[in-house]
Amino acid sequence: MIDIYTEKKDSKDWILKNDLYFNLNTCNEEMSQNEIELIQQVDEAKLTPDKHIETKYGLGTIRNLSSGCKTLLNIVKHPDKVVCVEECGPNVLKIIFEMDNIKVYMSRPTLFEIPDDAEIRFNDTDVVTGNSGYNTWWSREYERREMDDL
Amino acid sequence: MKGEKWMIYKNITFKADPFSYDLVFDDRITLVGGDSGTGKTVLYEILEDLRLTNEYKAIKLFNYKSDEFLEAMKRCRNNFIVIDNADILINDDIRTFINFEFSNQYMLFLRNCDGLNVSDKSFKVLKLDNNRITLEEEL
Amino acid sequence: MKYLWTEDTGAGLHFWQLVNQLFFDNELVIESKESNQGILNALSDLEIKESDKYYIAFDYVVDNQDIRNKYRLLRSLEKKSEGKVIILDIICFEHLILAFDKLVSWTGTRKADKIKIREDVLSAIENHRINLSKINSKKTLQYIAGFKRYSTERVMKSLAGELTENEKWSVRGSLMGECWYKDCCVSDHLYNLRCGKPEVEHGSEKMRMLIWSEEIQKIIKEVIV
Repeated sequence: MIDIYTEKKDSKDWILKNDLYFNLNTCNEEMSQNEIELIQQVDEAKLTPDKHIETKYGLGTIRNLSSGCKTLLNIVKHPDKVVCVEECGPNVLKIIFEMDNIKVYMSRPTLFEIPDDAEIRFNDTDVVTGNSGYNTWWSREYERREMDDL
Repeated sequence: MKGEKWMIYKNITFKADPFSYDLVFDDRITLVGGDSGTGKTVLYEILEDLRLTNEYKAIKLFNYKSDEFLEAMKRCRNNFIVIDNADILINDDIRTFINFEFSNQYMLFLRNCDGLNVSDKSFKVLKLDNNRITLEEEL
Repeated sequence: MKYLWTEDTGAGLHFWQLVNQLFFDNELVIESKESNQGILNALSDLEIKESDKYYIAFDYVVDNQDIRNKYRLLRSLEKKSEGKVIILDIICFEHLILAFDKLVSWTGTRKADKIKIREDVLSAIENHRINLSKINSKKTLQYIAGFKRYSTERVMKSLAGELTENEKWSVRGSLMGECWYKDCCVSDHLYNLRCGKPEVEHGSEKMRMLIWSEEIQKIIKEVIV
């Protein structure tokens, strides 16, 4: 089940500023082979053992990864936290929604590929499946917001 | 001037070896989205130097590290404003400022167009081809 | 068969039914899919016969992320349909009403400020949005800035609603206001008429004048029956 929260909350269990959290916390953790492969897949970056990265844009440190890649690693390393995915491109969202038992925050929909069998729960209440369920939920949410002039 | 397209920079071009940048803008508000890892923050960091040149001194830069972001933004007039991490920085107040302060031009690294006075020409992605980086229309 | 699918359910749906009746001689099958997602779902499941054509009245504005996403999906379905699915070039039903050149004279609205705002907004429309930088009037800009979350669609709906409040001109209900399609006069207070009095009195003639207005004709000329 992927939990999506659509109303922002200020809590230590939420990661809203992914760059900041990654730069101060996640980047200091050990990266598994899976995470090294994710970094290659998303940013086309090779992570060296001493946490430098080699990309088409040049050499840097792990903190030079894209915001989307940092968000993904925050989720993988801290699946107990609610992580804001609003800065993720469709390439990263596709990977995120192939995962299970994670919690994300987004205040509006993005167009990306969702697996047909992805089980998604909005705000601890509405459970939908796949792309169609996701899009239908957002349609109703936008109608609700318009009525409330939100 | 009201009633006409008001652009601080119609294009921004420079070299940052091994790359060259040729960014053309078709609207007062440009949203740069697309996949993660396409070089948006790299561009932002290069602009940190570029804005110190005479030609590009109208550029103002904001990201999640900016202090007093709202206040600083609202002081901008006749500027080319670039906002990285715009998805987590922009609120309704900022959107209103962007929409109604016509003297500024904006390049926002942003995926959510809600509430912004954008046109179909506002939506761009960064494209790298043969070491040349351009803004292409988001399909 | 030729179909026209709309996301509208109320007055917008009624409008298309009237267009079908008075302009297309009931040649089309008008169906409401109740929402933009409803249109997408229906198209995704569709098996199109060789002789079928589907005209899609999908409200498209550029400044709404959900609509923009769905429009892109709709365009991809249109491309795959080999010409059987045609997306009509619509902002929203309320824009069609707002753009009707006789709106103010027929409704008799006396909201001078909203009349001026309407003129400014209509002049600033380009490519499915209101280009705010084309508006010179401070009052119009203040009106638009007053929306908590700006969107082209919200401004259109609000303005159209305000300018059709008179008598039975409203387009907010489950049907178009009776003043649009019924013979004059349907007012509840004939001795204190607030109407602008259209130059024609037959309901079908009034509707035909609306249907023949410029913005509506731009759209329905794409429909070939």
